[in-house]
Amino acid sequence: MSKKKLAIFDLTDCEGCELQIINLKEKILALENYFEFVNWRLVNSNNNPGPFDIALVEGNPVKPEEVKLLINLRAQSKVLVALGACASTGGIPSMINENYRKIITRKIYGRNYKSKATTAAPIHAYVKVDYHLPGCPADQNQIEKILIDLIHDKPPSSLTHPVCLECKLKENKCLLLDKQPCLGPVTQGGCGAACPSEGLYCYGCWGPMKDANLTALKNVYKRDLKWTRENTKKHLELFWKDLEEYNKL
Amino acid sequence: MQIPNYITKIEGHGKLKVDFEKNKAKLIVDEGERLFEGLVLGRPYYDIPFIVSRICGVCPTSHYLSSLKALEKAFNVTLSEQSINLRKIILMGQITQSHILHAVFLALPDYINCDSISEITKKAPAEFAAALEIKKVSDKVVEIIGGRAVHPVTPTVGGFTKYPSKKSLTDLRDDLQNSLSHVNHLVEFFQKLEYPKFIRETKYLALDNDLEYAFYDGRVTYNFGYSFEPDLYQKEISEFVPANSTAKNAKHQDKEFMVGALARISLHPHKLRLKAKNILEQYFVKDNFPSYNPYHNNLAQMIEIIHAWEEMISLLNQVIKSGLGQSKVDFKVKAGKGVGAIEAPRGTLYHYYEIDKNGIVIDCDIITPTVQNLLNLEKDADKLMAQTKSLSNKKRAKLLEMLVRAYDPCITCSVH
Repeated sequence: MSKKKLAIFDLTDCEGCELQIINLKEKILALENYFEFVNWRLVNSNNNPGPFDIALVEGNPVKPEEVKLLINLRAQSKVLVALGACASTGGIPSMINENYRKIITRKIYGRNYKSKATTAAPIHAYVKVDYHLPGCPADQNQIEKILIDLIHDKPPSSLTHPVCLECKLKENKCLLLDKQPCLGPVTQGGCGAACPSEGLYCYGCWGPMKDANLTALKNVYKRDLKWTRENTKKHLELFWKDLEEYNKL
Repeated sequence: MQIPNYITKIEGHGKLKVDFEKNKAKLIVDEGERLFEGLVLGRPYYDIPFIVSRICGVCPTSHYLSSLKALEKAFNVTLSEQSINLRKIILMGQITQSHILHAVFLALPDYINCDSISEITKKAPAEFAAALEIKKVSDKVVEIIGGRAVHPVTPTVGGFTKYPSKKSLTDLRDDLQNSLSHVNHLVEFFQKLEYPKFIRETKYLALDNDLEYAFYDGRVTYNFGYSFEPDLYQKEISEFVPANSTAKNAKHQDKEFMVGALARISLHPHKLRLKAKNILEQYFVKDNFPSYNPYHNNLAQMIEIIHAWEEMISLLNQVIKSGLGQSKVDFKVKAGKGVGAIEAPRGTLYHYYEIDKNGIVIDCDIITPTVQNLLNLEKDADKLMAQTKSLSNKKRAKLLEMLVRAYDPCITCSVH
C-alpha cells in the first residue's frame, strides 16, 4: 500500500488542534507508516505544494489571501477535513459580526489602522468540506479514528449522540440540574463529555446535534436560570454564531 | 499550488524580509486580527478564561490563569493555599509542555541539521525519546489538574471546579520522579550544542518574589534591582502599532527589552533549584553571565524544565501532605478592576479587566510576551546582519531563522 500524502494547514487561529496531533506523540510515528506528512509548516521545513490525498485545515480564513489559499488547497486535495471548531463551525473568533469588528478594531488598534482581517467564518463558507473534526480543541481519539478510516478509504462514520449521553454514561452529576447553563443536551457528542466531567458546563464547541431541541433548552434556561432569549443567544454565540441553529432561535 | 513562504517551525504566521545588500532584516507578522480584547466586552466574567485561553493553543493555561488572577483581584478573592499550589503546579506543567515542544520539536532540528519529526527520531533517538517522555508527563500534569492537556477547564474564579484525587496526585509525583533521568539527559545534551556566537546587551524583565523562582506571582524586576508592581504595567510598558503590522510592539521606559526563559534565569539564577543552578553555573562561567546571547534561550528553557520538575515534585508533596478538602472559596460579584500577571513560557503575560456591578466585562487589555519581544528581536536581527557580512547569504539566512526560532515567538499570541 503506498503512503497517502497528508497535509496539515493552519489558517488564522490558536494552533491548539495541530498540537493535539503532536500530542499523539509515538502514535504520529506509527501513522508515518501509512502517511507521508508532505506539508506541515508547524514542524517541517520542506513543504510540498501538492497535490494531496488528504488535507486537514485548521482555523478561520480571515484575510482575502487565506480565502485564496483555502480555495487552492481544496482544488489540490482529494479529501478535505475541517480540523477543530474554528474551521468546522466558526469557533470563538466568529462570535462577532462585521460591524462590531470594525468598532473594536478601532478601539484596539487606533483610528488610522487598516485592518487585514475582514471576517472569521468556518471554512465551509468558501469550500466543500468532506469531513469534520469539531471541538475546541479537536479530540485526539477522533483525529486518530478519522485518519485510520482514511487509510482504508473508508468514509468516517458519523456520531449520532449528544454530549449529554456521554456524560450520563460517566455517571457525572448533572450540571443542568445544578442550574448551570450546560449545552450538553443539544451538542454533538464525541468529546467524552470533556468539560462536564471536570465540573465545567458544556459550551457547545462541537456544534449542534442533528435535530437538537433548542426550544426545549431555551425553556429550561428560562425556568431554571431565569434567562431571557437574549441571554441564551449570547451563551450560544461563543461557538454557534455562524450557524443556522443560532439564527433560528 | 503556491504555498506561502512562512517561517516554518514557529507558532503562527511570520515571514522574514531580508535585504542582504543593506544588511537589514525584519520579521513580518502576517496573522489576521482576532480581536480578543474586543470579543470579551459585554460578556459575563465567567466566560472570560474560557474565551481568552483560545488566544493560544500552545500556552492556553497561561492565558487562563492570568485572566483568572485579574478577575480574582477585581472581586477581592483570596485563594486557599492548596488552590494556589495547584495553580503553580499546573502553570509549571504549561511551561514545560511549551518549552519541550519548542526546544526539541522546533529548535533542535537547526542544531542537528534535520528537518522533520521523523528525522529527529533517526538522528537523536535517545533525545527524542526523552523529549516524548517529558512532553507526556507535562501533558499529564495539565490534564490531571486542569482536566485537559490543551485548553484546560477546571480553574475557575475562587479555585477549581474539580480538585484532583490524592491518588492521581501521588501518581503524578511518581511519574515526575521516574522521568527525572530523561530530563537530566536532555539538559546535558543541550549543554553540548554549539550555539551561534552573538551578543547584544539588552534589558531583561521578569516577575520575581522573595520566596521562589517566580512564575505565578511577583513584582516585575529589571536591570538587576529595579522593579514595579504588575498593577502599574500600563504606565511602565508602552505599546504601539508599527506600520504594516497586525502585532503591536512594546517598549519599557522607551527602550526595547526581552522577556522569557533567558530573562528569568538571568535575573534570578540563585532562586533556581539545585540541579538547575548547577547546570547554569557549569555552563556559564563568570564573565559569560548574564548571557546576552539570545540563542541561549533554548538552553535556558531546558534549565527551566529541570527546575520546574523538581519544584513540581516538591509542591505536589506539600499538597498531598496537607490534603485537598473543599478548597474553593466563595465570593461576591462586584464592580472592580484587576490586573493579572504571570510568567508564561515566553515571558510575562498581562491581563487586565474592568467589570461592572453585574459581572459584565466593560474593559480589557492584554499584553503578551511575544509583543514585548518583537522589537528586541528586530534589533538583534539588525546587529546579526551587520556582523555577518562576510558569510554567504545562505548561512546568514539560516542564522536569522535560528535567531527567530531561539526567541520561540508565538505570533499567534502576538496578534490576539
